[in-house]
Amino acid sequence: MVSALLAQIRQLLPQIVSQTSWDKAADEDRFEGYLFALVLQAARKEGAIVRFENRNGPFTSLATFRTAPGHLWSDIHPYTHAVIEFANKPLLEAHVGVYVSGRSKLYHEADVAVLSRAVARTCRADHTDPPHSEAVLFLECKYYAADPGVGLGREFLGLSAECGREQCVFVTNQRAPRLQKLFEEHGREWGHQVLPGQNNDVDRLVGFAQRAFTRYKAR
Amino acid sequence: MTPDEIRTSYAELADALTTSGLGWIVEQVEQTVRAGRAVEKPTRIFKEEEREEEPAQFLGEQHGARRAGKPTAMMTLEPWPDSDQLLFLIDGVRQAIIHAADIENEQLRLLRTVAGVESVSFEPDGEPADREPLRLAGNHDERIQTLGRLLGELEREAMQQPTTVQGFAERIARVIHEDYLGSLPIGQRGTSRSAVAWEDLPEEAKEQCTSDALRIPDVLAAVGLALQEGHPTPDQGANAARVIEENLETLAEAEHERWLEQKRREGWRYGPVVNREARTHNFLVPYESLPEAEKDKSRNAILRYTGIAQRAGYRIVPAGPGEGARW
Repeated sequence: MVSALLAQIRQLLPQIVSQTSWDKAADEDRFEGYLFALVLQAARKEGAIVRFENRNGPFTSLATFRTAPGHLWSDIHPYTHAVIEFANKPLLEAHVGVYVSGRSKLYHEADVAVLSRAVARTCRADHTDPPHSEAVLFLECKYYAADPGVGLGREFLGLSAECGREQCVFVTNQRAPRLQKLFEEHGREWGHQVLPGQNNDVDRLVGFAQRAFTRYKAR
Repeated sequence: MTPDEIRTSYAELADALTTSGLGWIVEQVEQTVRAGRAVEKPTRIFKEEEREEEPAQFLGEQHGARRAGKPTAMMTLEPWPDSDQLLFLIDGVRQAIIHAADIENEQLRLLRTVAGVESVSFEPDGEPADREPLRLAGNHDERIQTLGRLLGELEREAMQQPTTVQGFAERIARVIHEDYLGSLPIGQRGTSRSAVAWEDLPEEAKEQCTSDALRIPDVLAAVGLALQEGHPTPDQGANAARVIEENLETLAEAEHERWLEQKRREGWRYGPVVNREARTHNFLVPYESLPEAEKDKSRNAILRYTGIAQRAGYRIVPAGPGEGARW
């Protein structure tokens, strides 16, 4: 019974892998795109109008995101960002995988970032990278096949100290009990088991993003 | 699955993943396994010793009889059981392919709602990546569903371990004995017949530990708890610890009562002193008649239950349909 199951799995895996990429980077890309979509859902729940733009042309039905962090101003590809419009408030933009500078002027990678559109336009015009102080929301996204190590949590503690703990949230697909303890101890925000179908955990993350937008609207 | 089947299945699945280019899943699982399992271990911290004159030459730390302070819980790392390692690997495949496909589909559904997105491409910013850009247009490959079903079946097989009363008792008994060894000062190990590794323990001492192990389910049942195979989630662990603490006195009394019954079955009776030959024991009395120090021993035994169960691969859960002990 068990050996027959394993034989079937062994036969199936190469067929599945040949169709599309399931490597670590591909799964991380999928996860970042999914969390970007959840952030936009949160903005809409808070009453925003959301539209897409491309870096160097009108948006078509193909969204292009960065597979690894890059400069917000980069025009190597027609990278897509979302424009978020709340009534009577300056516009915001949401990006996937951009560099931001922290308190110490060091560079950090924001897997999903929501920031002022005015700053984003400045960055595109001047080839500069956005400072953490202009961000409304940063998501650190970690997609793992197994329980992520505590080292990732320590890195996130550093990132959130650099970029503002209120805006930063660590999000993973795993239950990550060790990281939960670490973040609870240090008063950081996190989302765990954020996966389609895990409605409670997904709602908790969307709620965090909604609170970030609520604070922005109240400014 | 038998322990051998579990180990073989892990090796088979790991090999199938690696040869299919999914070795990263195996690497991540093995990192988790190498990190070990953090468990709380009840112990007593040595009391501060008065300063003594330093010997001319340091001969290693010498411990006399442990002058124990108050009980405390300290952390220790233990290896993950083979069955958990296999379950981690199965879940790794599920995360890497099945959940990732769900994520792709949900991402597209949400982005379509927001801005009419039909597909998503991920492109490198700078040097071209060493792989083709990822293009997502939704994934409804039936083979992925088949894989999910097969993994579910394999997981069920892995969780069905042939556990007998004897197997259960020995697993718990070993941990009880390790717990005892851990409480001994280092210098005392190997100095008596019972202060040796489980394998070298006399049969009589093994039977004593086994009796202690067999009492645990009965004692837990007194407050509606049961042992179940598998490791506890953080919530299960916290709930079990809370229920035990709230019912400590009831459990300590139940522990003593079960010990009494066991001793009586073995032909022991009350006597003013412990006499192995005559089979008399001065604590063969109702719980309320015990001296406070003896009640404390029962209470401390109860407080070690969660750690002992966890290290033996069991969790403490509410007793109920499907939740009861399964040995």
